[in-house]
Amino acid sequence: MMNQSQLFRDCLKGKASAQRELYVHFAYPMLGVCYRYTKSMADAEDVLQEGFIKVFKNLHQFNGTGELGAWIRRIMVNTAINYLKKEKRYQYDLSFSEMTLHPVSDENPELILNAKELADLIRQLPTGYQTIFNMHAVEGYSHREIGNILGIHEGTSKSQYARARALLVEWITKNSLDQKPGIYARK
Amino acid sequence: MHENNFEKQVQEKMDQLGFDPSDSVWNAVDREIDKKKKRPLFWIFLAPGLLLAGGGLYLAYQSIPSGNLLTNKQAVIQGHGQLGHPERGTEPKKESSLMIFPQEEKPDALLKRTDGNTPKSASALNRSMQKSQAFPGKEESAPALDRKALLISPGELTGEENQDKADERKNQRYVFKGNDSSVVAGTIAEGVRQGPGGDSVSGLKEEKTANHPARTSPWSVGFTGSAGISNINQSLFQPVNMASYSYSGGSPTSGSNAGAMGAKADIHAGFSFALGILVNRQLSRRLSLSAGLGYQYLSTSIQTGSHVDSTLYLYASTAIPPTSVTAFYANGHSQQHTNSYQFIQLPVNLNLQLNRNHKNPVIWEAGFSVAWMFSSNSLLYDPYANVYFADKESFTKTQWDAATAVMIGFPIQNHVFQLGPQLQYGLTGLLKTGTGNPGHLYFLGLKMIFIP
Repeated sequence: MMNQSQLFRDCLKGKASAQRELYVHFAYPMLGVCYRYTKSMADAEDVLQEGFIKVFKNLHQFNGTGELGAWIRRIMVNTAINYLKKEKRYQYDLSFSEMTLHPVSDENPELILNAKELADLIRQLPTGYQTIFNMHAVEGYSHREIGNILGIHEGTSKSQYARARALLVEWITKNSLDQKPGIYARK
Repeated sequence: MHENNFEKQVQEKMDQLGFDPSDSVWNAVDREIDKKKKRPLFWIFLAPGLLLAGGGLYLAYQSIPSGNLLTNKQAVIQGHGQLGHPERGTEPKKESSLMIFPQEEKPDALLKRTDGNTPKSASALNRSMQKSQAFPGKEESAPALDRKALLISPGELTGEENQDKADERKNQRYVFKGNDSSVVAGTIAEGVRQGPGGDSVSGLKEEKTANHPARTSPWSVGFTGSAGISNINQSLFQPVNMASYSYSGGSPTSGSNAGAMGAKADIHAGFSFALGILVNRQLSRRLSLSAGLGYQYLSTSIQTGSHVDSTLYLYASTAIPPTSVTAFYANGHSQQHTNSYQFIQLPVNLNLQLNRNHKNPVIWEAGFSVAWMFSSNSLLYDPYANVYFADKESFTKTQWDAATAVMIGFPIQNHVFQLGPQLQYGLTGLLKTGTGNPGHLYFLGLKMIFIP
């Protein structure tokens, strides 16, 4: 792959080969991001497609100061969240009801799962939990930022994160990768 | 930053996660970005393309009557310089400035100028004369008839031809046409009968110009086009009111967070263009009136959140009557939405030529237009539900606009071409609202007029 800044400039000029190269370089990790936020690979690919269209459409807005990969990843996350809000089958699951604040568990189980196994566990969470867990634990958004993006209170984000984390820790400690958590299994 | 080891481990694992997408993803992305690349070219070439096509059709249409003019055993004498008016008896300024050709010979081949310049075709000259009467800036000086040109002897016409042919040609009819629309017709023989010393003009049998197809009309038909930017003004006539036609952004929140008032955000100007036809009538030497029929596309853009297909009842806005929508956009900045407004427009303008330069007239144009909005996808903002939604019924469909432009004329061959900046302002509010600020559409761009 050519120099990233050169690739970026060529993409801005509309060179088809550069656009293809940019896609090939980033599609693999970005599909991983989309996979974490959705419930199926087909949905993840839909998000990836929509996200890359936005990337190429808004490439001129990238100021070049940060990492291009980080910028693309942020677009993917935003696209995934919009997708979840838009798709009716996710909407019931995505409702963020007000909950009492749960203290974050201090348990830190050893992660012996590989990336895909862990991602599959995260995807078994209800969509609301899954989204907040991904945004906070993986993307590093603060609860205030999550509240702003999802239109919920900061406290709701904290509470849902605590529940999501507790569930994941419980599944991991029980080493229940093969024992699917029935109540949260996808319909 | 995560202090807990668990989050760190999760982050590291998830950074390793990746999958190879199927080929269909890239195909779809490629199709979409390719479409986006082609779209601007389409819009850029649409206006000039239509103008060229229209101009070509008009010219093709024009060539038919000018051909007919030469089919009835007539010949046309076209003045290309200073043609004298028969009644005014103007003295000639130049000799041999008339061109004479009989009908059965190819007119263009016989058009010769004694000054050695490239001859123009008869139809082109005819058009040139018509335009000079019909549009400001194309008027030419007072006509003067070339005396010598009318003093035509049979010998000059026939050369070495025999007498029979000379007689035949003598009886052919000729039309003498001045720049001021005067048309004098007769036969060469009639002209010759007056003798070389006679009054060549009065020697020809005059025909009423009204009965002749070559009479020029004070009307001219042309094409207009404009391209520029448009936006919505909310503060010229009334103060900005949040609860009216305004777009708000700030912290993106979902539609479920009803009650939260978003912070004010901007409406951005969008690309706009117009195409149309016009008729122009000369009222005086410097003043003309034009009217037209055209299509106008105006647009603005805003940032919105995601699209939601869900029924929402909107009732809290003071500007918009209670309504329910089946789909809306959340407030946010995740995507750009182009609000388009499409109109059929009937403009009427007065055109005043400001200078005396005939080659490059400067014309101030001012007028009004009535426009009917036949399509719009514009979103409205409800600050109480904090969502954007579409409601065509909220717009005032019939819009009155005021417009002004300063046009500079550029003669291109025998055609009139004018170009200049134009400002159009919507006098009618965009929204049907009595309490809030309805917003006024305005357009700023370059206008072009082409009269073939």
